[in-house]
Parts: sequence; structure tokens; C-alpha cells
Amino acid sequence: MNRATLAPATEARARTRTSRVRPATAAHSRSLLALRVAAILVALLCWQWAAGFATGAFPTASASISALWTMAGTSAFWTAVADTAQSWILSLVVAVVAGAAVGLAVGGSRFLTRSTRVLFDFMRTIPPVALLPLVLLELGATARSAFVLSVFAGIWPMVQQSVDAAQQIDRPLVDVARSLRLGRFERVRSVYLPSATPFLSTGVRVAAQLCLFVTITVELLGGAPGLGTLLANAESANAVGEIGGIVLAAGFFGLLINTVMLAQQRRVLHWHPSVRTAAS
Amino acid sequence: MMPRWSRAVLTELWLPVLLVLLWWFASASSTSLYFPPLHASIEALHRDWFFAHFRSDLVPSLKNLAVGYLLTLLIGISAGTALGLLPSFEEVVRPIVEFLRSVPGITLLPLMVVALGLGDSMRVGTIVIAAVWPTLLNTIDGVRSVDLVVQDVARSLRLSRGKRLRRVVLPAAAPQIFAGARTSLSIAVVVMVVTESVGATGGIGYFLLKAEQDFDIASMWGTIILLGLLGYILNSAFRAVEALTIPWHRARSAQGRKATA
Repeated sequence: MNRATLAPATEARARTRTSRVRPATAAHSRSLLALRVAAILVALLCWQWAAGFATGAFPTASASISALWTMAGTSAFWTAVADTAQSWILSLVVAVVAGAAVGLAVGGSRFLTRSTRVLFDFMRTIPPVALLPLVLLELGATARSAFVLSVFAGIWPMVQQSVDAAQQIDRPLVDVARSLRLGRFERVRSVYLPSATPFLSTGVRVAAQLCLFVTITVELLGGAPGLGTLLANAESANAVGEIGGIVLAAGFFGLLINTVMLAQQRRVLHWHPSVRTAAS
Repeated sequence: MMPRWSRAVLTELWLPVLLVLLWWFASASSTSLYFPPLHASIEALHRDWFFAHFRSDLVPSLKNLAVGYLLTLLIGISAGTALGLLPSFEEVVRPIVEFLRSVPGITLLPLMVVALGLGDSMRVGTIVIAAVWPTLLNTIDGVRSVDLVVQDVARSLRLSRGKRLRRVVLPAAAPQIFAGARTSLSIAVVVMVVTESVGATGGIGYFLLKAEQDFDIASMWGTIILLGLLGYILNSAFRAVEALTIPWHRARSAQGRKATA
């Protein structure tokens, strides 16, 4: 990516865009909020109405929300949330650290990058759930199974992004740094890290989603403790409202993760053109 | 001197070949229950999938995957284009879209079972509802970031709406649509396997589960290898289609990968 040629174009685009779009006044943002609330209400009503046709077989919006409300008062629910959160965050940290270490080391060398391409491509495409029976046989329905599979799922995007990050470093920029005789620390801080962070933070974001997906899958299918198990129990008890409630809870959990991840990416990358135009 | 292409092939392949050989010899006399010798796994792969269970388990899986993925593309690209062309509407429904895409797709499986039963429509439906989001969101982004100058040119040339869409908007958004579609494909494969663990009478996931219950570990490893191969083939096919459809994007493919998220 050639930032020098890219930046003016995006800035020009941002300018034209703002000149055409209405200025974001307080009144405008207030009416947007009202419209959004209205849209959510309409969506809920549609859900309620459509689920009504199934007469009790499919959870209605009201049944799901009230089931979620009831569950939120029980400690079993919060224990499940904590279990899922714990498996998720542990596996994400391990996947990110290990993936970045491997990826940056490999990406630093052209020879290693080429040598590992087929291997990484292959590993990346093995669906983590394919390994589920094997892991379950070995580790049982424990949080450890969820952890192992979740790391396996999250590590590959991180490796991929880190290899790209190391490969994409602007050669002329490195030469400039060298001819300015920057020290090693200064070079890492002002050349290598800034050009690697866009890739790394995207890797973290993708890994976060995959880790959550796999954690909940292992819980749902394998019975490791957490939100997925709660869902499996509700399903076998045929508690339709609770199924809906848990799906909502999982949605909020995912939404929280996505929002936090986007916010960290914005903060780390506040200088990057993609973030600066998106903000305008 | 070795010709250049053979050196390139050699660099790409020495490590995978070495690892497979290591696995082969290290596991050759393995008596571990969970890690059978590689030759046993490959025999199982050969015996199970070529072609004893080919028709009963591989074909149904691939059919559901194909139907589900085509629907995913159709819905994701058309809804994404519509939302991308209607920015003020998109702004209003954004919280809903953000919430829906945050729901881990797999939790919708019980709901889909309740709504659609245990048949193939449930499997296809779950694939679509879990895999559609990356395509949808990337299409919105791609359509919205079409260069405004180019749009002005198209307008001043008085291109009709349909022509503008086909000639200007979609080609410009194509790289990002492809990036999303690739993520959707890998999600679709995973979800395909998962849905077959519920009430299925055939399919790769069903076969895997049965092998687990029978403690047929070699068959399990064979199926894992099959799934890895399948993923690899699908990914390579996807790349080929991408290179044919948007050849101008090739030089910037590294950047495209960054946009995958």
C-alpha cells in the first residue's frame, strides 16, 4: 500500500462527501436516533407478528425478551456468561500472541513466507469443528476443549495478517529511516509498528469473532460449560422463549465484542486514512 | 542452474512435504488410540470417501453447501447493493444490521431447527443466515466507496440507472465484494459441517460424528484430511474465479486481503 499516493485522493473524497451530505447538526442526530429507535421497534413488531404464525413453536420477540429478563436474575445465567467470556478471552490472547509471533517471524523472510504459504493455507481452511470429536474424545466436555479449538480457529487469521504486515513494510521508508540513522528502537517505533498495526488490528478483530464462534460451538455441541450449554439445555427442554432469550444474549455479547474491537482499532489507527474518512 | 519456476515450486513445497513425511514416519508404529499411523488415516480416507460414502455423505453436503452459498451471495450482494445505494436508509437500520451480524451464527441453529425442521432447508437456511454478513457488509462498504468523481462522470454521461449499476458501481465495488464472499465461503463450510450434527441421515458432519461414536479414529482423521483438502480446493477455486473476474485487482490483492474483515 502506497500511502503517499493514497492519502490525497481519500482526503479529496472526504471533502466532496461532506460537502454533499447534510451537516451533522444536533437536530439531525436527534432525528436519526428517533428513526433508529422506530426502525428497531418495527423490526421487533415484524418478528412478533411473523413468529405468531408458528403458534408457540418459534419464540416471539416478547417471549424472548421476557425470558432473557427472567434469566438475567439467575446466577446460572451469569456463570454461563462468565464461562464463555473466560474461554473466549483466554483463547483470543493466546491466539493473538502466538499468531503474531509466528507470523512476524515468518513474514520477515521472503524464503520462509513462500515455504509456509501452502501449509498455512491448508491449516486455515480446516474447519475447526472438524477437530471437535477428536478434542472431545481426548479432553472431554471441558472448558479446555473450547480453549484448544478456539485457539486453533483464531490463530490462522492472526498468522496471515502478521505475515502480510511484515511483508508490506514500505521499503523506501525503511531506507529513509536507515539513512537518518535512527536507532533500532526508534526504527521499530516509528516505521515498523505503524505500518504493521493496520494488519495486526484487523487480525485481532477477525480472530475475536472466530474465537467467540468456536467457543460457543464447542459449548453447544460438546457441552463445555457456558452460554452454548445453556442453549442446548433450553433446546432439549423445548423452552422456546429461553432459546430466543439466549440467542439475544449471545447477540449482545457479540455486539459488545465487535464494538470494543472497532473502538480499539479506531484508537490505535486514528491516523490511518481508512479511519479518518470513515469518521467524516 | 535450475529453471526459475521449478525453484519456486520447490520453495513452496519443501516444508509441507517434509512435515507430511515426518508425520508419516513418526506415527508409523504409533499405537496411541488418538493418533493412528498416517497410513491408516489415508487408507480410511481412501476407503470411506473414494467412493463408499461419496454419494451418501459427500454429495449431500456439497449440495447443501452449493445452494446455501449461492443464496448467500445472491442475498448478500443484492441487499448490500441496495443498502449501499440508499445511505440514509442504511444509517437508520444500521443498529439492526450490526446486532444481527453480531449474533454468533451457530446459536441460530436451534431456532432454525424449530422453524424449518430437521431437513435440508434447515441446513441451507442456517448456512445462509450465518454466512451472509461478511458479503453483505463488504458490499455496502464497496458500493459506498465508489469514487464520487467517477459517479459524477457516469451521471453526466447520462447512463441509465441499470447501466450505472452494472458498469460503474458493481465493478468498483467488486474487489471488496470478493473479499467478503471469501470470508462467507469459509464460514459456510464450517456451518455445513455443524448443521449435519443435528438430525442428519447423511453428510460429512454426520459421518464424522458416527466415526466418533464408533471410536473409529482412523476414519475421523481421514475425514479431517478430507475437509482440509475440500477447504483448500474451494479456496483455490475461489482465487481462480476472482483472478478471472477482476484481473485488474490482482496487483493490489494484498490490500484486498486487509479489507477481508
